[in-house]
Amino acid sequence: MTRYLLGRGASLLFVMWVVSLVTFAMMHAVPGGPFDETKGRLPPAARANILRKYGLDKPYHVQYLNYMKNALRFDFGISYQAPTSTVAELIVKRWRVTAQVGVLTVLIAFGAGLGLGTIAAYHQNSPVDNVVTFLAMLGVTIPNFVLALWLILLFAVQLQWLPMRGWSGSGQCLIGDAAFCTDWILPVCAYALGPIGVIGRYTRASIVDVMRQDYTRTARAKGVTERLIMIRHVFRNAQIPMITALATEVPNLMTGSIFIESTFSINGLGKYFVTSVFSRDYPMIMALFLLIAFLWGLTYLLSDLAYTWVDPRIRLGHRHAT
Amino acid sequence: MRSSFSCRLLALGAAALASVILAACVVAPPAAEAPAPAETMADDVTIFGAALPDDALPYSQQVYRVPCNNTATQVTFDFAVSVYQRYCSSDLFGDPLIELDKDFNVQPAAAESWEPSADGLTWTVQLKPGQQWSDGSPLTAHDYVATYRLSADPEHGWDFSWFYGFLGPGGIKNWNQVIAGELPPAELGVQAVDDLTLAITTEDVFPPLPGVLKFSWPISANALAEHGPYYNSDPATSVTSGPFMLDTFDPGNTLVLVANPMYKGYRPPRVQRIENIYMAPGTEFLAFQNGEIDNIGYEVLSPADFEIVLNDPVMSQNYLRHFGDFRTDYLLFDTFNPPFDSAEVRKAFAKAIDRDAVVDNVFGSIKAMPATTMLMPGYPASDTEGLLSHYQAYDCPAAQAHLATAGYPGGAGFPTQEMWLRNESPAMAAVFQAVAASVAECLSIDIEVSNKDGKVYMDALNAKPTALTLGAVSYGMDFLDPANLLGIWVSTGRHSWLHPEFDRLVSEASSLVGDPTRREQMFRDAEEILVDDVGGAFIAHRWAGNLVQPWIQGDAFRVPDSQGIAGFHWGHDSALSDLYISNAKSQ
Repeated sequence: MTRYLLGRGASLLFVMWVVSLVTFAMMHAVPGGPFDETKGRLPPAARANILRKYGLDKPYHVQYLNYMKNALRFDFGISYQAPTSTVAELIVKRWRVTAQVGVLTVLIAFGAGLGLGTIAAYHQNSPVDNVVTFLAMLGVTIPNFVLALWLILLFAVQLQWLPMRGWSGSGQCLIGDAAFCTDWILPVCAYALGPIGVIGRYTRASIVDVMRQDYTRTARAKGVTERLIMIRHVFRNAQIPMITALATEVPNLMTGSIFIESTFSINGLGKYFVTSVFSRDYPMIMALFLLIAFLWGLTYLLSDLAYTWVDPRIRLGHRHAT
Repeated sequence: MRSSFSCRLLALGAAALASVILAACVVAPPAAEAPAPAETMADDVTIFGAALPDDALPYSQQVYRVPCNNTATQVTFDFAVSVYQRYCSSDLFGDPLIELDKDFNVQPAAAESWEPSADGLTWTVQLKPGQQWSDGSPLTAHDYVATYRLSADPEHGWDFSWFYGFLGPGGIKNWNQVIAGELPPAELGVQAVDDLTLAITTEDVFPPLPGVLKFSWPISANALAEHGPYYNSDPATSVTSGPFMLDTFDPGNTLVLVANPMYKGYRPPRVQRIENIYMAPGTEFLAFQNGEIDNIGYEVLSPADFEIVLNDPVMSQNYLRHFGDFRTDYLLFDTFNPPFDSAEVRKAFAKAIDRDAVVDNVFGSIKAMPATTMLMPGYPASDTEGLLSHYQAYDCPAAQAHLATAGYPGGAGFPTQEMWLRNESPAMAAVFQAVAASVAECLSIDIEVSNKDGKVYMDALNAKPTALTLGAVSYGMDFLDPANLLGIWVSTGRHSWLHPEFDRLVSEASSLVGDPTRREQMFRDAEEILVDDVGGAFIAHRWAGNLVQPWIQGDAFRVPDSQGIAGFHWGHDSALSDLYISNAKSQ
């Protein structure tokens, strides 16, 4: 296992290197630089000074090597969007809130999605299944920013039950004055509905598939109770495809959504994915893409490990003789 | 031995719950603490000793709440550090030398008086005595000198430095050499004669200079030397000579300003606190309806929002429409290359735009008026009488005739055009789509509209030769003089259009003193050339506006100007200080 983990770690580093290379090449290939004019032309001398200050006057390969050399020491440079902060400081500061939103959303999305999918599968082709499937489709098809505005309109403006801004310190809290607050409810709900739909549908499909297997029928024929069949045979065996499909939701949710964060005024990381590209904030773009690559690599590694956990027959790092 | 499956599920659930609790407890952001109310002897008097109006809420409740775009890139409070990336509520940490009143007349602000030298090249500006920074040190001419020197410092690379270069021969002396690094900032034509006297020298006679001094919000020379240009971003190092001071600040989260008790300037505020509430522009109207903010700009209101506003008896009375920065939307062409090197083609385009339909059906008449000229009616030297409108007025048969004369009868053989937009909002993109549709339908040609990233657009526009064949854009004034809005059309500007007579008229009129009538006529003549030769095809002049809560009161913006227009007029910086919260809020 150790050898396997080392191998996966090395492959993750390789992927991150490739991502950094491609990202660097693409962001320099796009017209317009970080200090190009917005309204009028910056005088050539002033422009040259700024480029020199940020090392952008050097050849591309030198810029890349300098960046990567510093990145290995977790120094991702100064953000052009916030010249008084380093990229690392900004990401750490903003990602804390984004991660909070993400963790809550993952838990709610997986809890509700798995539950609804299981209920729908168990009551396959019944009115319950139809209702759950309809709700899941609704979750998948309604963009979260549209849903966010509807929720604000209904619960914040019309009913005035909940604050319209999230993580603002304006809500009532369950723990202390800043944890599990009412201003967390709308953003998390808006963010979770889409994943609930996706997870619900995958769960239903996986469980329905397992319920049709011979060993399930055999267990039922042997007189095993439905509850035990569901827990020991169906749910357990349905997990493998679910892990494969659903693990990909986690890095998406953990890196934030500009729509959710801007709509609910959450000061998270999501906006930087867009603003850094628009403003050609090269250090921030590179850091964000490396972060995404790392999270995706980590997620796939953890999901592979999860396979062995839920199905002991799976042995990682072993080749089967043919 | 492996644990049971149920145990694993339980462990997984417990771990997840623990992680949430941990995340919640460890990383929860602290709630912003409201500072204690200002201590005053009476609650109907400001900290500057001025009595509040009879219908005002108590001073402790004079809190003005405004939205702040949480998707914008913002790096500084100070104009001299960056113009295009300023935080919300910037320009309140210092007073400019002059301001404009609601009729756009130049008025003293931090300056007491100004006068040109006999040769017209040097302006001596006298500061009002007794002004000071919040640390108690006096505001002097040296602070203004430091401000201009920072702006011109090539190491700093100010994003507005093009502006003083754009003034050309009328610009500040040595500006272009200093920003090019050929001369040190100390050689700039802005010098302190003594603590209260500033001397500003221009390269050539430039009558509108006092109006340009509107952009002179000062930075503290001492704080700049000690903490660098971003000293105002941290309450610990922030120092202000303006009406407000920084109270709490977490970019993207919290920004609170409070009245500066050390303020000795010309615009002491009535409100004791400004809360900037970060939110997405798309949610501002919802927040306004919810009573969470007091003022939103017209640019965040969609056509559907406007329908709600105009049909609401209260909101419609509190929508204050005004000139804004006299912004004009127009089409620009590469007139040095086919097909727009032909004036006939440009005239065909100009006359094929059904401006009335675009404004009525897409823009909305509350937000714009049809335009056939660059200068909006009401702007100095503008064609208020409509004498120039026939040059570009919608006339489809005439447009078709112009295109036929150019060699494209019925649009035959006319190459498909791509009209570039500069990262426009959906609402503005729809306006330009409608313009393209109008032209395409009238002339039987194909126009594809492409909404480009802002930097890609500007790269193409500013390339020499230009890489932009056909584009749509808007421009608003930087100072109230025709030299500004017509000056961008001279051949050294950003447009690919050249007319020597236009250049001569604008250049000579810009520096003409002593004969305002002739000066205005020269600008009028220049604009006639611009619209006749179709340097640009003008589409609409924008009406700006603010939707304010009924409890937001103040004569400076509630009482109409001499043209009958109320609202927050561009350059009228003291309007904010006249603002107060009326007791209508508690009702």
